Amino acid sequence: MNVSWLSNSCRRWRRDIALLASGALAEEEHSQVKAHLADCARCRRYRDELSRLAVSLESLSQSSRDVEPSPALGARWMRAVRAAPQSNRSSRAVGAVLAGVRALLRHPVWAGIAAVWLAILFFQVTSPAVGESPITGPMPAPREIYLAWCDPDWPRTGVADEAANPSGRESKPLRPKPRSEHRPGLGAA
Amino acid sequence: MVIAADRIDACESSLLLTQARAGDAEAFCEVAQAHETRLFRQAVALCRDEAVAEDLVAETLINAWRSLARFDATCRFSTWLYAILLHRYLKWVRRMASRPASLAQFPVAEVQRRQQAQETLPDLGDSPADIAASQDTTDVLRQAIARLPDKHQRVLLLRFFEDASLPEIAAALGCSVGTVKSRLHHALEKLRRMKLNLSELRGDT
Repeated sequence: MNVSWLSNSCRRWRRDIALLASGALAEEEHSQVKAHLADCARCRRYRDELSRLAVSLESLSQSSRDVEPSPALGARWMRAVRAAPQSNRSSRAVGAVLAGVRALLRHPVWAGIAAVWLAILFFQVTSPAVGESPITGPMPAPREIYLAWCDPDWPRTGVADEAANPSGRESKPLRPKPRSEHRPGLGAA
Repeated sequence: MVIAADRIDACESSLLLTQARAGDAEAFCEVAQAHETRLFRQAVALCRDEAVAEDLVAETLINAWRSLARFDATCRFSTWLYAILLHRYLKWVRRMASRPASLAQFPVAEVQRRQQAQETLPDLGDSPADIAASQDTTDVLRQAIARLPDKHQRVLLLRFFEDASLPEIAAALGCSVGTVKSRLHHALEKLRRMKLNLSELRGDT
């Protein structure tokens, strides 16, 4: 019996019928539900199925009524209770936060989002801040950057290079050397 | 499952819990001792392994002592303890599910208990085949409950194993009574749709 094709009048009673079968329905609501059950054979079958299920569950709860714990059990937890103080408010708060983090990381999607966020945080911490950039002043236009790159004396002509090298000594160009400079023989020829 | 209810009620009516909440470990031991056997039987009904059940009960009572300040008496102390037991039990189930299956996890104690039951219970008139069928049906229902979502398991077990009322379940789980009603309905509906063969557990045997 699929709930999806039930009529709306039956569907609205299903929860109360389940509560009635499990003995959890309030007394004042019994009469309304029983009035509907008197008119609806399908809901009566539903009630009977759930009632049998409820009896089975109660029987299952009684399945271990004859077992007894070992005498050592009491001594075991009492020793731990006497040794452990009650937790205070701050430790409970820390425990709640840790439990929340553990519950969050148990789901793979949230764990992935947390990993990406930590990676971004790591790169932000390890990369230099904007204020520590060696380039001071306004950012040059892209064309100026290209022309500076084509200039063989670059970056010695830059302002930033002078600031970074106050001693005036010439620094080596960052561009790769021509092949002829790597081969003295060819350069001489 | 009503076990030594008069003893538990006497303990609850006393001031022992108040003293325990003030930090008196001996008062807590006295209150908790009255619930130990009941908790143990409930734990065995859940996990059907007495050694694991003892671990769960010990963890439950130690956990209850550490977080006793959170018990606000909106539900019975036994219901609050059972909610903690359920939390430990579901945690144990998740831990066992994440481990690879091994022979060490095979419930040897349960098999021994069944063999003893088959040797001793024929006095009641049941044949060994009937007893075995009943045990298998118990396992079927237990496994069906284990397939439910945790939130549905908690409500269902608190209602049928602890006999807690809807407001008590709501107080123990920290949700509204309407949510408890809805979860109880969905839990029973899901079990019904599993089409379990429960003829041995309906009290007909």
